[in-house]
Amino acid sequence: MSASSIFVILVSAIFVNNFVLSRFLGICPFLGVSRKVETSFGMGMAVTFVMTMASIITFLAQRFILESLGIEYMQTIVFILVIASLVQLVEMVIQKTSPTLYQSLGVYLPLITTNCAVLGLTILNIQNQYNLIETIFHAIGAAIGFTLAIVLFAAIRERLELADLPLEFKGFPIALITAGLMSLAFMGFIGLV
Amino acid sequence: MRDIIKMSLILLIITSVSGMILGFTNSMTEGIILERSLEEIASSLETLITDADEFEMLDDEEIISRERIKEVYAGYENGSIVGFAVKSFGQGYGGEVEVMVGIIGDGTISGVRVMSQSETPGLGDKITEESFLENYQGKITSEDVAIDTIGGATVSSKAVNDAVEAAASLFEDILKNR
Amino acid sequence: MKLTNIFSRGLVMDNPVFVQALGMCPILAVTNTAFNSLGMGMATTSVLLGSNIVISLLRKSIPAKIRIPCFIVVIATFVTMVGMILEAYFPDLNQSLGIFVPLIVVNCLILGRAESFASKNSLVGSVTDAIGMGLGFTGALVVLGMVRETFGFGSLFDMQLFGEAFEPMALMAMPPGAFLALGILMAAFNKIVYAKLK
Repeated sequence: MSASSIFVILVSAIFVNNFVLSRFLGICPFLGVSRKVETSFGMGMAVTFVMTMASIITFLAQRFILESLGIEYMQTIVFILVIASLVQLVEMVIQKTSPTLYQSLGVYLPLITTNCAVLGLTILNIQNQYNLIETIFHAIGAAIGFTLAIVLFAAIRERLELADLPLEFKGFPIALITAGLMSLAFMGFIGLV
Repeated sequence: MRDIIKMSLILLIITSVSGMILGFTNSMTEGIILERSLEEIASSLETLITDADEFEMLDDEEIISRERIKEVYAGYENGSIVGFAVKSFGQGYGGEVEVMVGIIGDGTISGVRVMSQSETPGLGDKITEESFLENYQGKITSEDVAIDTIGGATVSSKAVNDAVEAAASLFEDILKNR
Repeated sequence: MKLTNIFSRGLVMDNPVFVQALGMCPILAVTNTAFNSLGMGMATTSVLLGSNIVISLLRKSIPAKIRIPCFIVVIATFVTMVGMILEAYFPDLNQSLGIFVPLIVVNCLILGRAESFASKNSLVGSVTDAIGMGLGFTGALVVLGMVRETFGFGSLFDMQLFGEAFEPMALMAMPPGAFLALGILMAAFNKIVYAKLK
């Protein structure tokens, strides 16, 4: 495995196969928590942390528990439990050790358990047969892609708040249409890798 | 303390029951899934090497360690080899594009079938259309086997080209002399 | 609450897709054709029905503190079962739904119904709730799938609608089309149905 293949994984996860805008993973927080740039960034950071940790742990769980026992069909249950307990653990650790960090990230942590970007990422890691290093970089790329999309989107939505819209389009409809236009822009990255 | 023990016990019970149910479902469906994938391979082998009456999977290290190659089958007619079917893959836009390439005689491509792909519907998945794949028919493995890419599906068509090229060079390097 | 109310609430008033915007990932990802939408809707409804039944039955024996992990295990079990059945009997559908089959686990709709309804209500109510919400979800998915398939492929449930001259609007079959179509459909739903009911 070369440095270039890592670079390809990274770029493709951030831009070409952006988790939110082209794979449709993590849409709920993308639409739900993106009203302000600041909170979006906080969510992005929390997701980055959990994604990287979860990828490593699920990779090891797949290799050393599921595959060696021949119970790959338990994958979904094991992965979601790993993510749920990880989120809980991270929440407790942050709360005890760094109250300031907890104040900025704490509120997002419970939401991450049901963020399909995290579970989706761990399943994709296994499906693409990545090794541990590729898995880590795929996670980092996915997380940066998620943060990028949600922060950009929040910046647009802050302006949309002030726009004069037909009543029917207020809220989710216009947010979805905006996301559609962003997704169109991201399609320009096709062929980059 | 007693609370914790009670709670872990309940969680343990639920998880073990679910494990048992899943193990049971898995044993019910496993056979069907395996059978289906074997059937799929068998039917594509038969259409790619029509003369053959018997197939054998080749799994020596020399062959399966090659890049982009997944599985190789040899087709026999009355005990002598009449062709090979090579399962290879290329990197597409949405993941791996897996194809089965049929090579008969001394290096003529008899056909290409897409076995699995997850390309964009409406664009990239045009690579599964017969009008695209039939262009490979009759190509000679010792020459350039790549065909024109489909507009709007460049990455996906290139993935198929890569896979077919890998199969062709495997034939030229190793299979031809068998 | 009357059963008919529970049922129709999920179908229209609290429609999980158009009103609550729950479970957005599969809604956007697998609705490029009407058939895929129907498949996803049915799979999700079966999981919802199964998990609502089990959770409603177990609601008195699950301690409040560990209810979320318990719910998740129950849901994940049903999802894995549905996944196995799809792989064995509907391999083509399974291939086109891809990773979104295991991801039914994190569909906020299912955990949401478990937490806010099934864990507090009787078996009959929970079943009705699951069917209403499931049909509301499936219906919305199929409508979106029909719109996208008509424009994106010029077909409906794989039957060609237009003649040779029709040039499909490929955009609608691709990711941006999903966002645009759902946004416009939601606005239309607001305008027609929701406004009338209020």
